Amino acid sequence: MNIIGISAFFHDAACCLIKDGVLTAAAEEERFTRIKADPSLPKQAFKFCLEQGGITLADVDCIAYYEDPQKKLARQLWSGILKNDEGWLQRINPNMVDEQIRSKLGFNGAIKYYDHHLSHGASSFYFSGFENAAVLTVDGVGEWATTTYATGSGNKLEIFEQVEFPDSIGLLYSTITSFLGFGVNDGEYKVMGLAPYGRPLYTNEIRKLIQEEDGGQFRLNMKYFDFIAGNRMYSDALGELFGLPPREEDLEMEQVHKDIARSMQKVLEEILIAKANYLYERTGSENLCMAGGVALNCVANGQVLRHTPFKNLFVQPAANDAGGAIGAAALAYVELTGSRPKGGRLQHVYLGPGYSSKETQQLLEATSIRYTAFPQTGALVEATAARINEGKVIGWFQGRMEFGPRSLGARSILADPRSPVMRDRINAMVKKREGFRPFAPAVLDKRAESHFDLDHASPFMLETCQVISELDLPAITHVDGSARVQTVHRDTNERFYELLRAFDRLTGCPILLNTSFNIKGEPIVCTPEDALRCFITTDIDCLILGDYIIDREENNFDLLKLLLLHDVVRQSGITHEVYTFV
Amino acid sequence: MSYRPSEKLKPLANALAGLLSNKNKDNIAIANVLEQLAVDEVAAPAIAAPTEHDIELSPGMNIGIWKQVEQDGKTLYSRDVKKQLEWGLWANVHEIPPKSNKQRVLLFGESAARTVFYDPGYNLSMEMEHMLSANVQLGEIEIVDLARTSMLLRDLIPLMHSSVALEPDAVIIFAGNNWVFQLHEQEYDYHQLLNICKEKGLQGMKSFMEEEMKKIVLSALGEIKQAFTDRQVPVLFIIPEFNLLDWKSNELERILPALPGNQGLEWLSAREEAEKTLLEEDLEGLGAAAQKMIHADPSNPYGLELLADYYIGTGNLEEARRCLEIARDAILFNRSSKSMPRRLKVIRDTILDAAVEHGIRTLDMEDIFKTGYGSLLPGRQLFLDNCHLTIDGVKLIARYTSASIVEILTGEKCDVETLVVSTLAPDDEIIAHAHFGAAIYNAHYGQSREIIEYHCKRAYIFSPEISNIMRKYIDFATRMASTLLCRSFEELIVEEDLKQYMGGYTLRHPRNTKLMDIPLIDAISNTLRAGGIDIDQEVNVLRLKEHAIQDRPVDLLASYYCQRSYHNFFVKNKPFFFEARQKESSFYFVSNAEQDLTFDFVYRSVATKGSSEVKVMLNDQETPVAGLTPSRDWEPVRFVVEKERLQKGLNELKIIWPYIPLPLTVNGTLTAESFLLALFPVIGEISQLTAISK
Repeated sequence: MNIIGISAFFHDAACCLIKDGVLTAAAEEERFTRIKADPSLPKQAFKFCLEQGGITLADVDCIAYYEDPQKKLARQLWSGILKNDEGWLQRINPNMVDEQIRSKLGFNGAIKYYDHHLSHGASSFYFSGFENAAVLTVDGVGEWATTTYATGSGNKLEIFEQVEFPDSIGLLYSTITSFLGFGVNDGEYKVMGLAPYGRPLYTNEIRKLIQEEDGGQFRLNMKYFDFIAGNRMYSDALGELFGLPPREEDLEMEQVHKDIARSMQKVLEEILIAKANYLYERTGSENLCMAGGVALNCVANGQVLRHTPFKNLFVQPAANDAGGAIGAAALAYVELTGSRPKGGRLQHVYLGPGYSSKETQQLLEATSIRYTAFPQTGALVEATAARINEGKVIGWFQGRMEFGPRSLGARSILADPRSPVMRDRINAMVKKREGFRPFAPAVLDKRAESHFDLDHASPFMLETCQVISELDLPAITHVDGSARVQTVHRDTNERFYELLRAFDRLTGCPILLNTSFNIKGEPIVCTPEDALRCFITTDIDCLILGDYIIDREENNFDLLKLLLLHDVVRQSGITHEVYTFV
Repeated sequence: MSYRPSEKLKPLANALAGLLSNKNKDNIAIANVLEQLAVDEVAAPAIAAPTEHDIELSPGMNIGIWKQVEQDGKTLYSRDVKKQLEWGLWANVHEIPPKSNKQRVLLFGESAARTVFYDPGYNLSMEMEHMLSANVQLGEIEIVDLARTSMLLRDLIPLMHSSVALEPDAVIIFAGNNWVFQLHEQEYDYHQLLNICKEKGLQGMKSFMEEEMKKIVLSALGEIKQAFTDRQVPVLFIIPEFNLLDWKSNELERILPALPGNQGLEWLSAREEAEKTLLEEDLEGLGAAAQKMIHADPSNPYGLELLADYYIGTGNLEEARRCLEIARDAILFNRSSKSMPRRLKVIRDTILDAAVEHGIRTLDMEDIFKTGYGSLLPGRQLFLDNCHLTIDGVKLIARYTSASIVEILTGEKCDVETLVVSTLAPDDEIIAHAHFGAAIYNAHYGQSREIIEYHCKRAYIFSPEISNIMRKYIDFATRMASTLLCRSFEELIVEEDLKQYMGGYTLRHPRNTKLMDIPLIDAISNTLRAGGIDIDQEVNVLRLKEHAIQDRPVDLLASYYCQRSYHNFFVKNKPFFFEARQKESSFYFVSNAEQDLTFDFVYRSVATKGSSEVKVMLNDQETPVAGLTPSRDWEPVRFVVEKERLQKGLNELKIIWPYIPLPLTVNGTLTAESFLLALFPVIGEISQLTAISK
């Protein structure tokens, strides 16, 4: 039984394969096309899934799509989004998804459509390992729903209540994101990172934007929003409410902006805690599953777990729309077989493409680059750990690529978390991002409790906790003393685990700074060639490309850098002015 | 404006979405619900964004890549660092000085005006300035070169308007080759186009597109008038010519459309006959077969090109020209997304008809070439590729242009013959590099081995040192790695000191779309061998190292193996699988011929069981590797090729599809894409073709 799951035509298009009940492959289309958040039909990701699964198109039993196009169209019609497009009635193609899957993927078999939030819920529940759970999904909008409450039991997943568009926690957060001068669908996590620098002085104002109602419901005060019209997120009234104009992207970040971010984060946490408590009352389960873009707010997730009766939390690591693909595929698998997908709790997300040592060697041999081969893992990690200890910033490319927005030791930039200058250094040399945003730590699983206030595994970097280490870890400790921790386990990423061990042996620190291997505005690297390009065009000190180490100091990349920088046309698949509803 | 549509409308929206999603649309019910939903009433007003046209239609702060700068109280234009990535497309001029007492002539145009194969060492602007400077009656004169490679009409218009700030005394516009692409940017009523095709056939569609093209040209002339002639700035328009003799259609530009009855089969049969007569040098047979091809598919350039060969053989160059011009204009049918720029007949005719009323003076390259070369058809003597001129071509055009400019600026008649001949000439190295660039360009756009080799040999004659560049090219073309990352490419940039192609940078292959460049590499090998350098062994060793099929499956649908040129079917949104619109699909692979190879092949075809087989052929061997049953469902098959049948090095696997005539039928919603897919139907598809050694 081969089931393909697809999310597409919104943002973060992705494809996955569930082969005989096992999640075998998953990847976002952006990684192949190099178009950030590429929303287009994931043709290359689809081809990868077939190859990875060792199957052909003729072997696919079903394609599961993560959304119901007809319901989505209804919501678009209701909100009048299509009206700005002259001649919309003639141009509209309600069967577009079906036609695209048939014509561009060549698939003639059954296509099953599942609601957007049901797909999100399934992506969490069916991979949580919980026999029963309460399921909370929160994002901008799917079809009608923006928030859903569901129960999962065995192979059943049922939504019992939903909040509908335009009342949306995700859109509220995106509106404040936009007001603070960050891109919608892109800058929400920056607001989360900015929040600890501020004071909650604007919570009263933010509470005027959203009114809590009975049960799971809440309602936005649309006086302050303009996203239905489709041109911008907020109305002029929002600026009047805060007593200041919207911040423009390039302007200085002032304390008031940090205060608004802190206030937004606080109100978000309050609402999520309230609604999670309601969900607990309704379901009685001690297990909570979360998904949807808002579930990537790891600070809020931690608060939910601490301030509700839930004892266990599972957040789908690809909680954004990309993860909808695996939720839809899981739903189809349950529908066709009556069983849940196999494998229990999701152990890792190394579900993307991997490359052989021979392919990497062939690439390097074609270039003028000086490199050293380390065919033994032991020697490779010792050499890498030594470089990190010297203060070097490392591009780390190993094994199969991660699925989801987080780099977890397959396509990562690594550095010494003890260095007080490392955050600024990495920001300056590669990430080119706002200095206030923290980097995350990766820690040996067995040593996590000694350094972080964490009593369970956190393999997906989706929770924050306090840093309690005796070590000084300025590069990964946020201003409020928190960190977004990834615990690293030998059985899911042995080479990364061995690297952490090697660094621990060398320094007594079993922790590394871990951030995504990409340049600002580009998707995370996918192939060895992407990694080389990223390495050469930034100032990363050293690239560990499979079994090979390339040191910048042994190479002169001036010409290559110039050539590659000329070759770069950064593309984004979505607009950041307003939430893309269509 | 903030609003929240009424909750009461949700059921109506749901109902309307249901009605719209139903394949059997009930338009009355839809209209009723729409009225109730009153979508327009709840809509927020659309805010029209300012267009590029609004922004840049006046003399401005920016002229192309040059930004207005105030210096010592004077206004000049300096290259904008923010546009640095674009600099290579324009003249290599850092600064446009303030107007002086020199007479100032602006040159606008596309890559043909840019003289792209010789620039910046030599170009049309230099040639004209040299020639005009030698004619003393004008006084001092300067040409401001505003030509840009890949200049589209929508870029040219704002550029012209903003350039008024340069206070020109006259303007030369040498453009039109790229204007056909404006047709691709328009929206069409595809129901209307479908009806035209059904009722009037493809000739009806061509007439429609020519009318559209005419409107575009007239609009452009209006913009020129507004920008210059209304301001009493005289304009000379050079109408480009096309390389009729030596630029031919590529296989993709010869795909068959949906034709009535058995015309498709008739075309294929006539093609086979024509190609046979060509081999047999049977001129009369060729003429007859080509006529049959044109009769069966008048939209297809190939029959016309073959008929032109017949007329050339019989000495009837006038008829040959007529055929080649119609073949050139077949671009209007949109078979390939990469059909090279060209001036169509309708563009020339419209400009010649309407120029005078717009106050524009014209210079028709077609006429000039006829004056210079009699009835000879324009070919390699004048062009390096489809539209870019050789030095002979540049000099000829520059002479006539200069004569016209003298007339414009002095008001006196100027005979071309009285102009002092320019002695300006690029050095041999630049000419060699131009020919090698032309060889690459001809190869990348599917031209014949003969013309590719011609340019390689010319390059070698002018500068035997070009062998170093050629060998580096072979290295980076043959490797799997992106060209930009290859050591040999870096060495080409550092060691060869190329003046053209942005120092060699534009010789790179596009990322993730690398070709193996077999015809080009063969042409280079032949050229060097003739010069006493044998590189065959070196090439074969590298090919085996990079591409030999071993113990990991090799995807023969990757661009190296399945793509012969940068021509692609016009529809941009391609499926993930390989589409065949021609009877033959060809795939390269490389083998060390030491082990059998196993191929996994998943295919489907328009033809079904009972039609002739899908044949798999190898290296022109007569016995098929496999004969497969045609199937409309994806059919996975595995076949093994014994090592004895393989060549050490490059091999070619061919899939021969059965052809089934298809009527013009649109599947799904009628859009630009579905219309073109229906117009040029596929005959076979491949979702997997891998090879492994075991």
